[in-house]
Amino acid sequence: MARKKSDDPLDLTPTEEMVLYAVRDRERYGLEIIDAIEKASGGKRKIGFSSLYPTLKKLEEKGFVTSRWGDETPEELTGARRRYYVIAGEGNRALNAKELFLSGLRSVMAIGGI
Amino acid sequence: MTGIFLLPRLKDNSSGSWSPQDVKNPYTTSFLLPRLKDNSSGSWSPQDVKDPYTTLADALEFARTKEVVSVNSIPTVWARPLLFDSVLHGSNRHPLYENTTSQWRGMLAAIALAEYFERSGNKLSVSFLDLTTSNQGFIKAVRRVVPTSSDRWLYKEGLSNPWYKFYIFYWNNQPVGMTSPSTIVFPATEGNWVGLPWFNNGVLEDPTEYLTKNDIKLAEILAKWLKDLVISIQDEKYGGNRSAREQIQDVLNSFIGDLGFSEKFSSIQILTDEQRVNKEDFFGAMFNFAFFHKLLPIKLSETTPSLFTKDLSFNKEIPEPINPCLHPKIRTQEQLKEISKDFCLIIAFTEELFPEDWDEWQHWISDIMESRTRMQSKGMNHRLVSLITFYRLIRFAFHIGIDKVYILATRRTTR
Repeated sequence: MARKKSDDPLDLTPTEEMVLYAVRDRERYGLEIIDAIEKASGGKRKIGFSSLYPTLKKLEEKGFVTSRWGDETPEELTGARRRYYVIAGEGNRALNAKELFLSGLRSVMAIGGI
Repeated sequence: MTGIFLLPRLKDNSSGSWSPQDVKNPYTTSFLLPRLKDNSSGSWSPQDVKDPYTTLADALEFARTKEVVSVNSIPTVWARPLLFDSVLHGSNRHPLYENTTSQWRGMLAAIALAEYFERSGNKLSVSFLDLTTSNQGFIKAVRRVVPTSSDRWLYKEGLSNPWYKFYIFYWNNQPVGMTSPSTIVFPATEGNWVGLPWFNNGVLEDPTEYLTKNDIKLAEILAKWLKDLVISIQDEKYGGNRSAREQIQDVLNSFIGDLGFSEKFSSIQILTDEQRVNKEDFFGAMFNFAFFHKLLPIKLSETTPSLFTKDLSFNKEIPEPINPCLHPKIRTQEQLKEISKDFCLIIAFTEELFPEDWDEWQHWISDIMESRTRMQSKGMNHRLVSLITFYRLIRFAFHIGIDKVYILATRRTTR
């Protein structure tokens, strides 16, 4: 079944959410994001290359992150450069909205409102 | 070296589907097909064929050797010459400086003394390749990514880009290196120089020690040959970049110095190429542009036998040749309709070379390569590192939807 495509923050996939958190505090390039997620989860959550970059591209298209090319010397053999990502306003709003939703949900559940 | 065809991802709005038909050729049939987009029409039609990975694995002949080998997978055909370019035009602080310079010296000395080694049955020959005169797919792809930076060109010779034309060297009919506009020559990754005294354990070494310890006269005539080369490079008529020429001259002079000579030579005379009767015949091809005629080997003559009376018996333990473990079988090549070509510098490239996608996705490659370096530095098994990198690059190529990919993997022999 097709996954609903939406900018609704509640529709963030777990991978998108992890990536957004990883670039929330400072800009990071791909490998740093992978490291950050692995480290934060104590090694339990890993994201692969082929998941990360399409996710970053999608998040950038949605305005959730912005990016820039790194200033470092390009990789020696390939000439490829790093690309740094950082969360954008839309991404922050999405995370905040999701946190607010979860917080509200916890509150409701705690008081047995449902 | 092997080739794999990957089929492109269907566009979301495309109609139809992949329908594998030719089960005799697994590489165009059912494996590595991307997941269809949820909203696309069509479907995959699985066929009952042999596991394609098994088929591929069966096609690879691998004989275990003593050498430590690994598979490189990086997306440029010019990586090898650019490595030498980077090192020889860089500083001696480059981490690969010693290793790279040693190989470069070893190749130059092999060329200079080619006539000597021919007497012991080892033939160095040359063929000319002009990338501008062929529209064969492989050549076209190589041509599209020639290095363009002109600040390291030693010659130009009226060419829009001197990388379009070069000579390939063969040692006993096996390709072992090429000429380069920026470093004169560079040896191939896996050039098999079996029979050359300074080729040991699959590694081309610096010949300085061998020559100076065994035959100082031989060292001197090599030094003199190199000096002639230095002088030729200085000639501005070839249109090279001045600082590039000076840099390579410095590297050559350093080699000459290590051989124990600088400016002063004894009265030893070596025949120049002009003195050769059949100068175009020695390598089987005529050096007809730039200063490459200076690469003609030192001429042996009846008047100079004393220089060569001493056998170059440096190392009688000739290592086993490295089997071309990653060349597909001829049958497989025929199925792919692509004959395996090994310039010994190829790693990986795509025919379309990520035309618009490169800028969009190069950071992916950057991170893959950085991850590879990290794994290597952690001491991870090099085969595993290569396999992981290989897999990641496949996934990358697969993702960006290029319609034809050749994965050309060569082994790099290290100590």
